[in-house]
Amino acid sequence: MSKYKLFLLRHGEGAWNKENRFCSWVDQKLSEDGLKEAQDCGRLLKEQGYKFDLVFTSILSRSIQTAWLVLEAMGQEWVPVIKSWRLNERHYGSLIGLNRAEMAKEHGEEQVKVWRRSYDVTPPQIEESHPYFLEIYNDRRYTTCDMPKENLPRAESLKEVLDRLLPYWDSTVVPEIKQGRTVLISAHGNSCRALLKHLEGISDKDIASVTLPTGIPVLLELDENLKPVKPRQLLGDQVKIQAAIKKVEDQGKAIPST
Amino acid sequence: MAAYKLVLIRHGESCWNQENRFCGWFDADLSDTGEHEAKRGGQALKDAGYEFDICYTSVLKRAIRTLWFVLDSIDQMWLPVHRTWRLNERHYGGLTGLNKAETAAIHGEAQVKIWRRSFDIPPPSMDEGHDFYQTISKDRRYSDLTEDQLPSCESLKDTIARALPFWNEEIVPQIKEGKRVLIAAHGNSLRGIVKHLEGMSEEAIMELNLPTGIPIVYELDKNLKPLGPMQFLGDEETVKKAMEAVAAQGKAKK
Repeated sequence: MSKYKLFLLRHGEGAWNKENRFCSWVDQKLSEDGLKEAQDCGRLLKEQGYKFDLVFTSILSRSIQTAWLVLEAMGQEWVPVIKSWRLNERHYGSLIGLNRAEMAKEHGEEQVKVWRRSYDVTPPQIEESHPYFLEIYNDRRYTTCDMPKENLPRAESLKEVLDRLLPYWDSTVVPEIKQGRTVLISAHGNSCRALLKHLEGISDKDIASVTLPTGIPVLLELDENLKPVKPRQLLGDQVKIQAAIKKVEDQGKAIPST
Repeated sequence: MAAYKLVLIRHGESCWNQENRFCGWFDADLSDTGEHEAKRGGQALKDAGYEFDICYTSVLKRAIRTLWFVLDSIDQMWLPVHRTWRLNERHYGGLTGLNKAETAAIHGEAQVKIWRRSFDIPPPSMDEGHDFYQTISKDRRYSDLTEDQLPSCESLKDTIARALPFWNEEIVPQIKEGKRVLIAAHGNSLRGIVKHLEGMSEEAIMELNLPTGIPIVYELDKNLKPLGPMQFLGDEETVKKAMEAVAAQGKAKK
């Protein structure tokens, strides 16, 4: 019997998504399309009559923007929003800023797939010489985390994402859900996947083939032990959902050279 | 030497301001002008290089969205934001939703004058039959308030009385820890903070109309006493107009 409802949302398109570059911890804002995805999502949730009590986001602007636009569309701007680095997108290390298609051409689709979709293979660490190193680590927000800046990740596998997410989930999010609060987690592709893996008990192997489309709210109905009582539901128009899934999957493929 | 800096911002025009209706706790959205004011306020803070550590706002969207526009402009969307009903606009009770002409027609000009000039006489309460009783008093966002806390109307005195505990218990400790605070709220809740900071009389605070959409900066000593009058941030023209408008208020006949 479903006792709790939890919503996960992967933010929509940022400028770099369009260019097929690993954005990760670089703080891109949403593109025009990404803004629209968030607004559409909010409208859908409003039509279906959902009421949130609490929203969690990462400290990357695109997940926060998404949450704000969703709340605005629903007339629930007053709902508290709590932000944490532990919901940040996966840290892609030295791959940050690189174009996926070029990488696939250079390293082959398989190697890129391994880096993107394996559970515990960590990409190479970001170094001080990396063009985006200072933009990330000089940012003041990383002095406000519950961990000293020097201990924050320099690269992560999906496993490492879950390692830093799970303590936050357990200590901060779970108690709210257990008090009956309807929670929305507005985050990123990999932080959402990591959480899904944990909640649904997906194996290390199977998580590779789990793709979350952008801008589509995911509803999990949970029992009193926070175990899902039914498969996750992607809310909204099914044709739109399938198109969104395909869009994400296509991003991993190399553009054929002409 | 300033120990602390505090920034206040009063939200800009709402859709109901446009219609000249008493808004209070009705959750009116910003008009296009109000959005523009918020963006301009954010730009002023960005140009002046302001950094904050924590933000406070009410549970009404016109203040929250103003804050969001500002945080977007200054690229600090990641800052923690605390929303509280205690920073809400004054509750206008039975007058909520009425425009100024209707109010005079129903209650008479003399009574309206009394309400406008009084610090502690509340408007009539919003009872169960009121058009907006359900949407306001029964709104989910107020479900944690006790019966004593949830107002059916407020005088300016009442508004200040429920805003100040939040200022003293939540905001002041943060300031004293060295956190740089931004408060985005409403004319009357901000009046509560200003009256308290400057030790203003009841008459004086009733004369003061804070400018909208313009960041208001206080430099405070270690006891949170202002070192000087409030400063406005913005381009020269905007600031000059705001200062003149405030100066003229005390002289205006009511």
